[in-house]
Amino acid sequence: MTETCTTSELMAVTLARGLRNEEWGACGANSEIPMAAFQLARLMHAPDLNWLSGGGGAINSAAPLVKSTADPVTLDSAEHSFRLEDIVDFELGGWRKAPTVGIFGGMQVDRHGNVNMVGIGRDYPKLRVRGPGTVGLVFAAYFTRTMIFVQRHDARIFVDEVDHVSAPGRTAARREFCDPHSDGPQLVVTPLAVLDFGDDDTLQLKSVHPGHTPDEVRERTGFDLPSPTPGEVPLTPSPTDEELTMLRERVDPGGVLRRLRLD
Amino acid sequence: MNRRSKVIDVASAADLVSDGDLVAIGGIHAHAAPMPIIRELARAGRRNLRLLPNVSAGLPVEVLIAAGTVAEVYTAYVGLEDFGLAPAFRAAAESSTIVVHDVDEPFTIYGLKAAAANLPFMPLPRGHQSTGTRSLSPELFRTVVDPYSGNEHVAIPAMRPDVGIVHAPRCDRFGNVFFDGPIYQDDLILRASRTAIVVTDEIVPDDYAASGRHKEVTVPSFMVSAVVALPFAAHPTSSAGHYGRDERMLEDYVRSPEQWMARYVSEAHDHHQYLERVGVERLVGTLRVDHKPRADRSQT
Repeated sequence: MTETCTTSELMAVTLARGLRNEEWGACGANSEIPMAAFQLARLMHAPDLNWLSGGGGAINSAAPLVKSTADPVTLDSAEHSFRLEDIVDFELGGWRKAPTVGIFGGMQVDRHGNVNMVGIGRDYPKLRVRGPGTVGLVFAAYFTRTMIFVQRHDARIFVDEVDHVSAPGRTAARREFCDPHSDGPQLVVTPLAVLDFGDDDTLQLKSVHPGHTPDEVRERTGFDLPSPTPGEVPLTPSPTDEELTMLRERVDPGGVLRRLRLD
Repeated sequence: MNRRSKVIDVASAADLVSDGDLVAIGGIHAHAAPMPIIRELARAGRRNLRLLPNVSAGLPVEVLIAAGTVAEVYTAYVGLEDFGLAPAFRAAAESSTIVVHDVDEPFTIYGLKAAAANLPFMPLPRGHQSTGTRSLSPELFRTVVDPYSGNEHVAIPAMRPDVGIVHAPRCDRFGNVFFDGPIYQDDLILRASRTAIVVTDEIVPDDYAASGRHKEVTVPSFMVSAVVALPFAAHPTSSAGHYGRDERMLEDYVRSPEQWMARYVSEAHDHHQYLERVGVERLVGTLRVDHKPRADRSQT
């Protein structure tokens, strides 16, 4: 690859590679990176991936990337639009013909992949930081699988145990209450690294992004992050020339990802 | 005898909302918020409103909380999307000056859907128990046994708003609503609410709907109680086919919410004063002349 990509572009490409053909995908708000990933996957290896652009309801939008997933312009080149009622029916498991995958983030992510958006502090309702709310994270209990992305990587986000479970990770409660085909989180993509799950259903360090070290990632994570194999932690593969060209020319000609602020 | 027009002015529309009412608000994030009525309610000093906002609410809820009109919020999300957390909501929740009922998208949508269908409650598919949300609002999320399978399910109550307020890009005088862009949950709000108000940018001719456009009418007139027609009726949020969200206004709000509230809400006595304070250059800058969401745009 001759040209260097930004971390946000690397994250979008990493998520795109994790999407499968003939899946049905969805993202929520504040989701420039997942929106780009869905569009890129459709252009590269997954032409039959269908996707929903957040609460605006656009299905298979090919609109140039915008900041807000619910922006009416996402409908300009969409195949269909869902109402919220359609979205909830579908994301709770109604009329499914294909496996589903949700991509979302949160204020806290723990070692089991539980995600919290309600707020920081256990003494509910007296929260230290009042978060926005559970949004659509409940659907994590119903998607076939999920991927998590965060735009900041530090020990405030990656905590040993979330204060409130808005989206269930790989937990005993999931095994007890959810459909056995709902596998929970598979991958966590951050500005520093890619994490996945070990056999004990806890997070491990899959790869670090170029320019970062495993020590740095572990220092900025609030729980132990083992490596799946002994030896060096691999680097996150960079985008190919084709991926980067597709991303910049077809998906994000306006450079929304390149301007995105990550910490 | 002529058919009755439902068009009223914004102050009369705000009068349809009483202290203590359960009020549903349409749109999502910085899109399609019925801002003129929100500002009017804030200035009029309504008290103890209980809000059932759209599933991802921001600015309208902020304005009502900042103005001290709100007692309770049933919320799946109050925030400002890419502009961060919502400062007035955060301060009011952290200081317990409002009661926050933490719910989720199925609660808001199926609560409205149950009310619209005259059902007492809605059971959810199994899986909800794997989240912690039920323990935050146990009085709202209860359980019910499926009489057929014997399985236990989480249930949510019908939520029937006293007043529902939504924005639509176009409407006719009788209340036939054209959601040219995303519909969000606004069809459900109009169907479920006892009193349903639409704020619109554009009134279409009386014979427009019945000229082969029945499929464009998302919600029929008899589900709408009142229509308020104003230019830039969603500003600073977006209106499909008309204008995008005004990102500078949102940045200004986050930077200094008190000054913003004074300048654009308490000291702007009506919608036209508000628009003058925003200014022509900024309003024109939000227009989206190349955005064509309407099915029939090529014919008009």
